[in-house]
Amino acid sequence: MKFSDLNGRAKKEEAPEPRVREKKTAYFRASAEPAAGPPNPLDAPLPDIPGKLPPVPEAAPAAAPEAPPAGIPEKRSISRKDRQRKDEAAVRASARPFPELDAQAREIYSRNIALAKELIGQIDRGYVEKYGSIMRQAELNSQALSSNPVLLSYTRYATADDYLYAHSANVAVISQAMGLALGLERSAVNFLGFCALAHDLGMIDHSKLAKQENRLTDAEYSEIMLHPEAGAARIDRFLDMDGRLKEQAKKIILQVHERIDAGGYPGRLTNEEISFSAQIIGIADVYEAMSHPRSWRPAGHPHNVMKHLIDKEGHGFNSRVVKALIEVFSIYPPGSLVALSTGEIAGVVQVNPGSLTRPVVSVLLDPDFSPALPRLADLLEHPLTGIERIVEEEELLARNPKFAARQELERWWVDW
Amino acid sequence: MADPKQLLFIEEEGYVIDRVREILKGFPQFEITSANSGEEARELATNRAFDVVITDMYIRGVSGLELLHHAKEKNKEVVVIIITGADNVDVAAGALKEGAFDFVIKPPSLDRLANILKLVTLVNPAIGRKPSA
Repeated sequence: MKFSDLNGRAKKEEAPEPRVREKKTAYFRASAEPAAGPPNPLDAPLPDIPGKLPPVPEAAPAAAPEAPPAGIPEKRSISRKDRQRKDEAAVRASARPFPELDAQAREIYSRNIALAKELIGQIDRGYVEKYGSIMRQAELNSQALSSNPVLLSYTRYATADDYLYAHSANVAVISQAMGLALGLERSAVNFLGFCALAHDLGMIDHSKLAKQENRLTDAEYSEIMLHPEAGAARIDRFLDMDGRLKEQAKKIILQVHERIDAGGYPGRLTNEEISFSAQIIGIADVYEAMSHPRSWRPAGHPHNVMKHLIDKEGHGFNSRVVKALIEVFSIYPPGSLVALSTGEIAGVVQVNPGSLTRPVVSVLLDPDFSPALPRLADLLEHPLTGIERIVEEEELLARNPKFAARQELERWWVDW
Repeated sequence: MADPKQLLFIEEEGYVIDRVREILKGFPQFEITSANSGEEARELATNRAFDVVITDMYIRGVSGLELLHHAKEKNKEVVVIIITGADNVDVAAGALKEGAFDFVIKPPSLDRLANILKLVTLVNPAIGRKPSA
């Protein structure tokens, strides 16, 4: 298939201020009313901007044959009514089989990584003409995220040569997924993608610190705290970007590390002062960082990272962005290693939109941690099998070190 | 300080009621309203907003699925947990796709329901905080 078919031409220089759009299906309400606290600037009706993006055709769920049954024993016969519901769910997610979604997601993700590498590699050589191509990629991401839940799963990858490549690409994809979940307008979601991809350009100045194996000292941490300003300043190097948009992007990038309890930096801003886009990128940034390895610490289990961020609601992040993150990732995000009620050990490979506890998993190990016959299981289709608990790295290392080593290798993105 | 969270529990079989009540003792943050007939359940679900609904899939006069829809109309974020007999798992699985949070098979095991309720308190932090905190 030609991925270029998906490539809608994003018109440049569109005003990207987020606006809430009516949303179809969601676990959480994306209503215009703030969950708590002061009114969000997002809720105010914004002036309509002429010359929007061309209408994007909904990626038609191809009438592809259904994936073969995964062979979990307790699967029951399906009544007509259930079949109908199943069809609806299939249309909601996608009627395409997992391998096809996976191949498409891999291709799109790979372009995100390539773009991040180019941007980070070229931004200090003078000026770059990349705003247009980043916005086109962001539009591609938006289209894919709306029709292909597997793309999000690729954000579990990390890049070994420089963590910043995958980190930037991942935060862009996650932020865009959250923007879509919140019902933001497509142009705003795409601009969010741009800002997210560029949010850590200031970290280029600190690549040595990011690679050291010790925890940061206070002095080093203070140095790192300068990166939002350095990142925002680099936005001026985009040649193909309108001045007004640059100002918006700079404001957002500068605020990504602000927290609503005024515990962030550099401005110690509070809830009302932090742009909603910066809050979205802020939580996506923390989720990504905590769930991926850094030179001075291993990766956190994605489920534990979610728990930590949910716990932070009301402190560091406002409840709307926390809920959007839960909606996007569920509570067992892709990359989570879990034990099923059958005792088998599985990895989460795809969130089922609308379900917080029943993702698609790939069964990896038998209950005794010996290799199992690998197979995919959609836990929404196998109601008797559920997730019992998470499996942390230490347990895996103790029970099957060889497999643990393989898992560790598999988290690194390899571009062919 | 925070208001207790409202939990609606709909069940007509005595032994299930006893067991669920025992589990709920571990979750003092919920204020529990019970119904043991279809009429009463429908009345409550259509007129009051609940944070959590635990319901049997079939109550005389009303289905769990209908109650799920009523509860969602009153509060879109309501967490609905279905209790079902082992022979109706397919229907309960359908309820998952309609937006139910999860389901338990009768007789509900203490661990399973408690685990689900822990997850509920996780995704809805307001529920997780202690009422007096």
